[in-house]
Amino acid sequence: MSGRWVLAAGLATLGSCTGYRPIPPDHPCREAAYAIAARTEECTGDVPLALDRFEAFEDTYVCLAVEVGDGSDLIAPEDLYDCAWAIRELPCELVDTYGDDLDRYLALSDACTWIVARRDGKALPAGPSEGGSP
Amino acid sequence: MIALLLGVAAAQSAANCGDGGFPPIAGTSGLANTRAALTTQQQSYSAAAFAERQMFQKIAAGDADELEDGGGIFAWELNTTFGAADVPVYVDNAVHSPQDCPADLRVALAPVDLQAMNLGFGYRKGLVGAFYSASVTYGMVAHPSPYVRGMVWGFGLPMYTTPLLLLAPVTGSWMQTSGASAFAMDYIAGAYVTHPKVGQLSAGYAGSSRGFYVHGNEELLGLHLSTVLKAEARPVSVLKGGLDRLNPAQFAEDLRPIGLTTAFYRDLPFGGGLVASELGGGAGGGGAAGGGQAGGDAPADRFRSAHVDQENLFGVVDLRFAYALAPRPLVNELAVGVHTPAFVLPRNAVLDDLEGATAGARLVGGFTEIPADPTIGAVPGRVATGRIDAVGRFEVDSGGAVVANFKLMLNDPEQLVLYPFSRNALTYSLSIGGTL
Repeated sequence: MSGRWVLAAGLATLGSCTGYRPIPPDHPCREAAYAIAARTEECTGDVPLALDRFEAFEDTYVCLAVEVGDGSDLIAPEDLYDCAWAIRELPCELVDTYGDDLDRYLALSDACTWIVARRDGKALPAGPSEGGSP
Repeated sequence: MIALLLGVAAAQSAANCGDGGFPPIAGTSGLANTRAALTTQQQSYSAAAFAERQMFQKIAAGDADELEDGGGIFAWELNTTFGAADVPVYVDNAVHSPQDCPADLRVALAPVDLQAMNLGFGYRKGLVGAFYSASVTYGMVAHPSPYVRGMVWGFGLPMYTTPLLLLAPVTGSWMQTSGASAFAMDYIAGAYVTHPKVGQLSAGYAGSSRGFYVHGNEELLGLHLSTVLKAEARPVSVLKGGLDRLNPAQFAEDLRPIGLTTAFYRDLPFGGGLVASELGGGAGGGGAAGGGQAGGDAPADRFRSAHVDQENLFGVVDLRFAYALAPRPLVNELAVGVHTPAFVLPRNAVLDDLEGATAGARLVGGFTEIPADPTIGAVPGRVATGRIDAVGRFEVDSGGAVVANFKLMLNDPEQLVLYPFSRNALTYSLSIGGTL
């Protein structure tokens, strides 16, 4: 019996430290910002530049909260990550071309307009389905 | 206690969401970190690293007369890390069976668990001998049920993988990556020449890199160097060198309070462990994805780190420090610990001279500042660190000795230098080995 208790206590500790949890409402948006920073570092090797672009993202844009499981099926929550995915798949030649123009990164996927808005109220550039293109 | 109960409750809420194997979401830092963790684990717990960590010291630990009689050495080690990374996964049961699985877990942050198992043995006769060392490393998205998760990692997988460690020369070294999981086997086999007063030179064939493994150390200062050489454009694929438990007291007794100094530099492949087809393109963006991460032109990188340990200060205090140099610099703050007198042995301790049994333990604790690093999705913060080490040494009838170690780590520098994106990762390690 005592062995069971030791095992249960161990598993409880394990479960409490690292278990499944819902994503924060702004998670897909933050992933888009991380993707810009990561791709900048991978393509340029310039870590300070990656940090600068991440900070520029935070200064320029606001993350839109998306609740997973709120009953709305208009947008599947897993599709929100298409924005980050499109940025991470960007070839280095285009990372060089886009440079510090973060709007261009956010025009890579329609999903970006669902999770990010500009702080100054201007609209984001059109995504691929609306005629925008890399 | 409240946090513990809330955590258990949260974990239980996911317990009925299915049998695991949930696909990771492509394009996320969590998947990139998971891939990095899987590769880093393969390198850090490789057959060569294990031989250096657990076997070579035992080979050398005997005086000339005892070595002349011949004898065997063996070592086994199991390292399990819970939550090395968090990866967003698509939980389909949250859509199809909301009565069992909460709807807000449709996209959930799931922990990634890693396990490494090593086995080695050898035979020594006089000043020469032969050795074999193997590793099996694997990792995957954790099972949603804490109970099943604990059972799988604690008992199920170790039981199945132990026999594989003997088959590595037959199957060859190989690795396979899929989504957020990977499996790899690795081995080295070779021979060595040793002298208790001079040092040791080991050489062998490294299966994973199809290269020539060389390790050398000398006994006076504890200098050591090991590498894997290949006939390729980049001939040095692995490099590790430094100082093992330098004891200033051997030169001046007044320096005894300083204790023992260990310092080493390590340079390993990073990212190159992933097969090319896994790095590029892959599944479409958004939604659940099996492959595709980090862009098709992501280069194979290097994982470089420096480690300094000052053990046995005033006989009881230990300082531990680890610094990651590449792929990104990361300072992991100093961890401070205390241990019982019998915990630390000098490098040249002769294991076969052990009489009876001894035991020791060490407690390490503190806080570590985590810097912001958006390239890996790391947010700044302060986390508690903790570590428990215990060791038992037992004389055996054949005249040899068996050493058993247990280690439990939470946010320890040793973990963070390998998995800088992890938060509250829990690692436990078991090892047993000795001379017979």
